[in-house]
Amino acid sequence: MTKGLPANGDQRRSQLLRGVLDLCLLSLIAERPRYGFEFVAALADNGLDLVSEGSIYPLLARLERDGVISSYRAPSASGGAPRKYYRLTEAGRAELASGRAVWHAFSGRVGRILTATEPTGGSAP
Amino acid sequence: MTNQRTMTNQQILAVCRSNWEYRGIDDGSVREMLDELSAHLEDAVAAGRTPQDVVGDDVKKFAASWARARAPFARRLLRTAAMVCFVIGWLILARCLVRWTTERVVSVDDVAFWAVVAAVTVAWELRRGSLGLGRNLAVALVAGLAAVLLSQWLGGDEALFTLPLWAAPVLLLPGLPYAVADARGRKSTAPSVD
Repeated sequence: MTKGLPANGDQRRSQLLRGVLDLCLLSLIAERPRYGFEFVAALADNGLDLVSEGSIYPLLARLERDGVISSYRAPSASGGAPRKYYRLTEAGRAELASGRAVWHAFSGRVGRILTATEPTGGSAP
Repeated sequence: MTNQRTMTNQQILAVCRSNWEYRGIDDGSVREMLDELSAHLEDAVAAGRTPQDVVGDDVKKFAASWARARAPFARRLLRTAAMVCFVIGWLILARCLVRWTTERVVSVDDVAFWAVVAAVTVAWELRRGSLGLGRNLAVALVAGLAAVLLSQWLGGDEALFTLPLWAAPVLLLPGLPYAVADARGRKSTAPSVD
């Protein structure tokens, strides 16, 4: 079934991000172990603002249940109470590699279509 | 109804705690999720954002989606059913001990009272978070007594069935492993006194 068209650019960005948020989180953890707020900060630094920051927690819980990430508690570099850090498992590394390949192939094809069908200046009869 | 745009961190944590407990998330996981959310809320406020930027406009929906992701429905349902039986088992046991009898006659009044107490407690805590034991008990008792008066007025004080004393341990048994695990978890996370 086709969903309704996103009303504006923000909604489209939000929908697109939702589809690849797990890959973004896996990729950020692959760089170094992180805790919840660090994911949100890293996404925002890359121009990807979440509508609701907390939406990463259900996703992190699902990834942990699936065995692609694991967690441990450690003191935060910024001080305060110990945080729950997430790190990648071997299964997570494989998942990330496969997800990256799928994303590159998919975004390449979408890019080709969007570029090839750009208006060239002529008008329809 | 609490305006979710003006909810404080503590109110959000209270609503999430109730939601997760009633959705059958074990005590250890609830504490872990609350610690994680509490730290995030503090970080967000320090970074100039509001609690609603973290949990969205609907805190109950946020809590429910985290609970669903944390544990499969079947496991949560099993735990909830076992814990409900555990509480009923305790009630039967307590009543038999107080009245020094080996059976418990269950009447329409009893069913009306406990059903309303349970419904009011669960509904209130899911919507507003816990009021604390004393006030929660007071609200539930007022509603429960009203239900008993209504059922008596409608002529429903007759006995429905009789439960023998052995039903209590049978009902207690399925919830016992969960209760022991929760008690152990509480003990291990309790602050130690040096």
